[in-house]
Parts: sequence; structure tokens; C-alpha cells
Amino acid sequence: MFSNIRRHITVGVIQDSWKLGLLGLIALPVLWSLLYSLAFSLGLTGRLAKGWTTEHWQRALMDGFLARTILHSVYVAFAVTCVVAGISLSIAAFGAELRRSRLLLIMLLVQSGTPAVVVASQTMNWFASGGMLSRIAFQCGLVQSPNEFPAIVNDTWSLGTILGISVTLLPLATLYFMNLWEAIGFERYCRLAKQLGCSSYQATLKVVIPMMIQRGSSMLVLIFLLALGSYEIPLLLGRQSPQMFSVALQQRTGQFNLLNRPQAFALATIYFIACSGLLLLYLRQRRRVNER
Amino acid sequence: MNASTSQGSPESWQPYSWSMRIVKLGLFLVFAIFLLNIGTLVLLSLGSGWSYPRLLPDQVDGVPWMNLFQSRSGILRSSLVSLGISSIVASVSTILGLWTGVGLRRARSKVWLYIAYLPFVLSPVTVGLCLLDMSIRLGLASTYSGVIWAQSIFAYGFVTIFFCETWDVQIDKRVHLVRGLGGNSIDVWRHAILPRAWPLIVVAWTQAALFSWLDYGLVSVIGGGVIPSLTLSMFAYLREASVNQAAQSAMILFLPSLISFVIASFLLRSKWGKEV
Repeated sequence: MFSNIRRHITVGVIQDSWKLGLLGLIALPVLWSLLYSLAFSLGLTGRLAKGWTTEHWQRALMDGFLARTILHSVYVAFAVTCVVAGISLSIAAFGAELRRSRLLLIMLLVQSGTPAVVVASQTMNWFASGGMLSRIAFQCGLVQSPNEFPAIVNDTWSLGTILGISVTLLPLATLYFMNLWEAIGFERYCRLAKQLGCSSYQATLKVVIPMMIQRGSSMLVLIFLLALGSYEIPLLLGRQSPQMFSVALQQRTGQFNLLNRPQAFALATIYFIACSGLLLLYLRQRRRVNER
Repeated sequence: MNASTSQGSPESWQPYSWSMRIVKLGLFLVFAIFLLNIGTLVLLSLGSGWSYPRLLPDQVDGVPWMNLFQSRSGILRSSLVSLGISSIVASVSTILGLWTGVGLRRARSKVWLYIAYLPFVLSPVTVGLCLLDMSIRLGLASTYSGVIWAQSIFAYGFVTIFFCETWDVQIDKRVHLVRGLGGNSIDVWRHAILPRAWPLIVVAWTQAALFSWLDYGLVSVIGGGVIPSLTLSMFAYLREASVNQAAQSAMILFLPSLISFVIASFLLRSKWGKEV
């Protein structure tokens, strides 16, 4: 009898052994990162730590470092989400021809295989003040020097960053919404709407798009999350200040001034909390849609 | 294409047959820009120098590519380092991720799924900076094993989610069959899972290898600039503003990912419909 119980336990342990991988390789490092950044920002660890204090948080809040970085990151991520959602939804909802197009599929696949670093460097080659477009404008006599060209790299509104991140995330969203069209069978709804007297335009605008946004809301949350965490593109195309989460953190911790480090880790704490909350939202929304 | 036929056809919904030509034209335009973009990258990597008002490189002589095979310490070396790291990371995370993904799928647990998703959405460089202190204490900082460990956290998460979400129901049926016929765990893997799941395994391996191949944040933080990966040298070239070398390393980074995406799309084509 005891051997039977033991066998049950061993089988159970073997069957659940995959949890060890998740615990050891993911949960532990991520939890450590969260606790470490929290402890560092509260003065509990680090070279210059003097014990429990909220001084670093106050300083980070007072000098606007936290607010600027968060606002800027959210601005960029939100703009990316809007651009990506706009383009991918209109391709999926309006482009009957596009959904069947091999050419588009090939382009999306190649684009999704393009590394972010390459996207960043190509954006630079095209849109920087000394880039291709500026040269073309010079040849056409529109500008006399590279400084006159309205470059969107390292610019005030981070248009280059938004463009670069959007291009990297566009294939994911477009393929998803194109699949959604097939999976839900929007054609039936469109035909029904048309039989009830809608024009094609109205059917797309009032039936397809709202349904797609509702079904794909989890994808939009994911796009926002991925944009929020992007690193290489804002590093190469962004301005010195304000910066996005990862870049700001990397630069504050890389500085020689060790006093700035706790502030950087305060930022990391906020980033971790925001991300885990949004991930929860993403999974919950996805589950809700799938259950329906 | 004229309006009367498309309105009458029952099987396809085509709201704007009159504007199809414009859409098609737009598509070709985008495709032209797309090709032009890749063309400039190739051209820049072939030449040397790119002084301001010129549209083409100063000299199209292929110097960066000739240097690639002449000097041992340049891009070729960092490509080999990146290749080595990424194949180890991919193998480790595919083996572990397959195991975990299958278990996670069977368990249908929300909490574990949440944990598996964390590396997918968290920024690698942020996590890397927070792990730096621990990796210094463990003696992993600035070592190959440290970089492999850090990259494996993320690659393993991707692979786990990939297997959990794209798993074929047919495989589960086969597993039941093998178990019903008296097979043990090894038999299940040998006769049920591996024969059917190999396309998924190939795709997962290449995606994990790609993540590691393209990673800059973790290599620069945990590697501490000591591990000469290809992305590090590319960033160095970009910072130095040596356009041609940067374009060349961009090409070297780009090609494997392009090839692997083509392979992945062929292997997964039959599954696309089921993924959503």
C-alpha cells in the first residue's frame, strides 16, 4: 500500500515537474527583479544605501524624472497602438482584395522577420537629417543643407520612434486581424447587414470594425505592452530626454553618478507593476473573448 | 472586375469593387518602397562612404564584404560568437519549453500561464539590469554562461507559450492511444509527440535562436561589453556613424531571420487557421 502511495507521489512529481522550470527560470528571476528594484529604490540595498527611506521616490517625483519618463513612454506606446490598430484594422476590414493577397502576406512575413535594430537603422538612413529623403530633397532643390530638412529622428515628438515601433509590430496585428476575419466569419454578418439595408461602407464601419475592436481588444493591449517595453528603437531614434522606460533605466544606471541609481530602480518598479497589471488585463480579456 | 458580378457573387464579400484598383495600386506602391528599402540596405553595405548630397555610396566596391573574410577579429568573429550563443540558448529553451508547454497545456492553470507570459511582455534590458547584481554575485556577469542564462529566461518563455498555444489536438489523441496500448512516458514521447510535433519544434528552435541572435539589451548588460556579439558590433558601428559597416551587420542580422521566417511560414501554413 505504501509503495502504491509512493508511486502516486512520484508520478505526480514527474507530471508536475514542468512547474519547476517555470518557477526556477522565470518566476524566480522576475520576482527577484521586482523585489530588487523595490529594495534598491527604498534604500535597502546598493553601494550607497543607508537603510529604509522614501527619499529617492520623493526626489524622483519632485524633479519630474518619473513623470516625464512615464508620460513619454505612455505617449509613444499609445501612439503606436493607435497607428498599428488603424492600419491593421483597415487592412483587415476594408481590404477584401488585401486579405487574399500573396504579396501582402510575403511583405508581412518578411517584415516580422526584420529585427528591430535593422528597422531602427533603416529609419535613420531614410529619415535622418542626412538621410535618403533629405538627399532627395536636396537634389530636387527643396533644401540647401541637411539642417533644413525636417528630420524625424531624435525629434521633439518622437515620430521616428513611433514609426519604427509601429513597423515592427504591424505584422503581428495585421496577421491577427486577418485571421480574425476568417475565424469569426465576418462575411455572414456583412451579408446580413446588407440585406437589412446597410450600404457596404456602413456595414464595415458599424458592424465589422466594432466587432473586431471588441474581439481584438486583447491584441491591442498586447501591442501597447510590447511597445512600452521596446528598447533598441527608442535608444537609436529617441531624444536624450525624455526617454522611454528601458532607455531611461539603462542610462540612469549606467551613469557614473551612483546617486541617480535608486531613482532608476523606482522607475523599474513602476514598470514591473504596470506591466504585470496590463498582462493580467490581456490574459483576462483574451479568456473572456474565447469563452464567449 | 466590375461591380455587377461582385455584388451578385454569394461566396465573397467585396464592399468596394470600384476602389479595388486603387487598393492594388497602393499595395504595389508599398511593395516598391519595401524593395527600395531593402535595396538601399544592400547598396550601402556594398559601398564605402556616403557623403551628403549623394544618393549612392561614394564607391561601390564591396570593401566591407571583402574585409569580412580577411580580418579575423571583425564581424566574422562576432557572428560566430552570436551563432554559438544562440544555438545553445535555442536548444536549452526548446527542450525545457517543450516539456513545460505540454504540461502547461494539460494543466490549464491561469497562474502558471501568467508566469509563462511574463518574459514575453517584460523588456529584457530592464530585467537584465535588475538581475545584474545577482549575476555578479553568482559570478555570471560578463561570462558566456551568464548571457546564455539571461537569454534563456526569455527564449524559454517564448517557446513555452508557443507550444502551449499552437499544440495540435491530434498529438493529444495519439498520446492517449500510446498510453492505452501500455506505453510508458518514453514511448509517449518517441511514438506520439516527437513524430508529429517536429515542425513545431523546428519553428520553436529557430524562433528561440532568433531571439538570442537579435538580442542587444541582455548581451550588453549581462555580457558587460565583454561578449562580442553581432548586435554589439552593429551598435558600435551605428554610434560611430559608419554607415556601410552598420548596413553590412544589418544584412548579416537580417538574413538568418528572413530564412527562418520563410521556413516557419511553410511549416506552420496548415496551422494558421487554427491559431486564433
